[in-house]
Amino acid sequence: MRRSGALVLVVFAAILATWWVVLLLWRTDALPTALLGGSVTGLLVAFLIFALSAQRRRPVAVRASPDLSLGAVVLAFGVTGLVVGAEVGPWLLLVGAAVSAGGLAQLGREHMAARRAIDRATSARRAV
Amino acid sequence: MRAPAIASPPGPLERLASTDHKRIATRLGGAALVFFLAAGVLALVMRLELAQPGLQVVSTETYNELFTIHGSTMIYLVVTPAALALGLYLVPLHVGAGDIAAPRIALAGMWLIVLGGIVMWSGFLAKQGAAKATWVGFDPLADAPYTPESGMDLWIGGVFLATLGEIAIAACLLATMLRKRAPGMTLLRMPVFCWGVMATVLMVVFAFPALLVALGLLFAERQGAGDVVSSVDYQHLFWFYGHPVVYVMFFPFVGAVAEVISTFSERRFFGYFFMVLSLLLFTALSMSVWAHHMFTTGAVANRYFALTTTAILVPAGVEYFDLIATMWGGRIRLAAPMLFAIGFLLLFLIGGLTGIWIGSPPLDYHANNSYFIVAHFHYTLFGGSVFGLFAGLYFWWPKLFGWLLRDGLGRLHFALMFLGALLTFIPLFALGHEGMTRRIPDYPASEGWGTLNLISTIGSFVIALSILVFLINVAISWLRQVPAGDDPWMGMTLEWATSSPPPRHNFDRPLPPITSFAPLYDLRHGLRPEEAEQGPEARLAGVAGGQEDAV
Repeated sequence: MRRSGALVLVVFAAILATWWVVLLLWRTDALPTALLGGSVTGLLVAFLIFALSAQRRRPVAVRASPDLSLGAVVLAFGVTGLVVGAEVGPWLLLVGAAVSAGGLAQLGREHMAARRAIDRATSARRAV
Repeated sequence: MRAPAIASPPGPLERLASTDHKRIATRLGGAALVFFLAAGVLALVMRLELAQPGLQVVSTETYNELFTIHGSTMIYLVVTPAALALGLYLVPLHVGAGDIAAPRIALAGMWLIVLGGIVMWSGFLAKQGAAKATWVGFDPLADAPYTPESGMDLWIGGVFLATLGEIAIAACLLATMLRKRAPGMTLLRMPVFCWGVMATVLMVVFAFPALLVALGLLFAERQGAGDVVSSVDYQHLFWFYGHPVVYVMFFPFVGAVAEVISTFSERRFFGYFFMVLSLLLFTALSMSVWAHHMFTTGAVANRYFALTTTAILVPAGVEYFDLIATMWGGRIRLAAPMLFAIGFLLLFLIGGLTGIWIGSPPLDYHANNSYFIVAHFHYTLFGGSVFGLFAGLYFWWPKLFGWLLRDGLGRLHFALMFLGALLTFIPLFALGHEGMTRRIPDYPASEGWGTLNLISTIGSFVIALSILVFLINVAISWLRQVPAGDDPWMGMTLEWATSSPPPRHNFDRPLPPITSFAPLYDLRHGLRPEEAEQGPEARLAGVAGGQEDAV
């Protein structure tokens, strides 16, 4: 397995699991046990995600790095509309949902543009 | 004389939507500073109200809003975002990366925090005012029958958004440290600051979601969904977030102080490996102590949580030992960053030692809900986090903006803030011990608490004066810029190997060889990789062993 640095997640999960086991000895309520146990599980899941993605990752010659992302900003405003809309009323919920959808669409466009830029740059490198 | 312009000034769209981690970080840091000033004004009004018994500067209702929004702003919108902003700016530079992982998510996270703050503060415009149920939002106090105002709902929404933004940024930082390190930058060659941020983001990603659940359940209750969460369960969910957040607001500043002390002592950091190990142990413990906030409920395993709380002494002791040992025998320069770092060590120690007191259930029963608790956490959060933040700010300001802050004004800022912190918070220990409960707008004159409260109020204005000195320092230093150069302090880590401020993708020249956690120190002292791994002592041992080429 390629080293991904994700090992730190396992080390941390092991330390946290030690305290979780000690908590189990106290036979406390379900919620405290579930909270600590949930974090340990989350860490292990994150480790698997990072480790597997590091396995699959191939070195790339060209990487797209966005300078601007209007989509991310619009999405943040949309999510805010959704959250505040839960208090203010359905009209703001709808506005928030529409703005969020617009933000996601814009993010999709940015992603596609980045893919095209990578393809162009890769072709140019091959031509050289 | 102005510092040379590295990049053209950003246009309106760039100000809104730049994905450069440095710009996101400076925007987030700027927003945190604005919220800090606003929360500071609320604190001054509260201290005026408490200066003497019988004063009516504000009504009881307004006082409740002030302490709720002051605490909420400082925790959710100032110190946590400032800690993440520091990491957002520096971690990619420290690990030699050209950018942060998933910059769009980080950008959205920054905006969620800012918008969350605006939503929370908009409660003051609501008909019945802002939230009044403390920064914890205690259930059932925060429930609709007891706090029916829409300001409380806006508080829930604001905190939810800010927390969501913080989790997003933390995930980006975690991925950056795991996936975007430069060749040669192994995990155990990351600077101590990065490990501080690593500890922080582990808690943000794996503990903060509990707060989102708690807020969701509280909101559902307020909307008439019935008793969906018991008071004790709400507290479990809240404090599972609420205690780690104390360390989220602490570890990056421990890392910052470590870098400052190392640089201004002109010594490599002492005991690096044990520092890293203690940070991980500290982090795991800080996620295991949450119910010490609930000792007096009688519904938690007090002995377990007292054990884990007291065990924190071990990693904390290792860290203090390492920080002091780094200074030992060093050529110490007492510039403003170093003064703030030493102030951090002294003031956080007061917070830490009083933490042992209230980590013991019998003693906590005495101190619970008193000003003793207020004093304790202000020594950890103000004495620790804010002093650490200013140590980091004075240290990295030249890198961020390309010009230096005035050191004389920085020293004055430190002196006033240190004095102010002692004057403001030491009397609160005595008041709490004598039984003054927190979250009260007034107290009877017969208790004899007037003098101590007056001293505390005077101290809070001394702190405000120190902040004014800082702002004047920024203004003067900006108007008459002294260019910083790439490495004004003889730094040890990679950010000092690039221009100030760094270019768009951080490094426009080859990175120096990364042979340890202090690559620039190694370069300056000509250490070979194996010597760098073991520290300069290896070279001395080599000389003693008769190796001819050791020097």
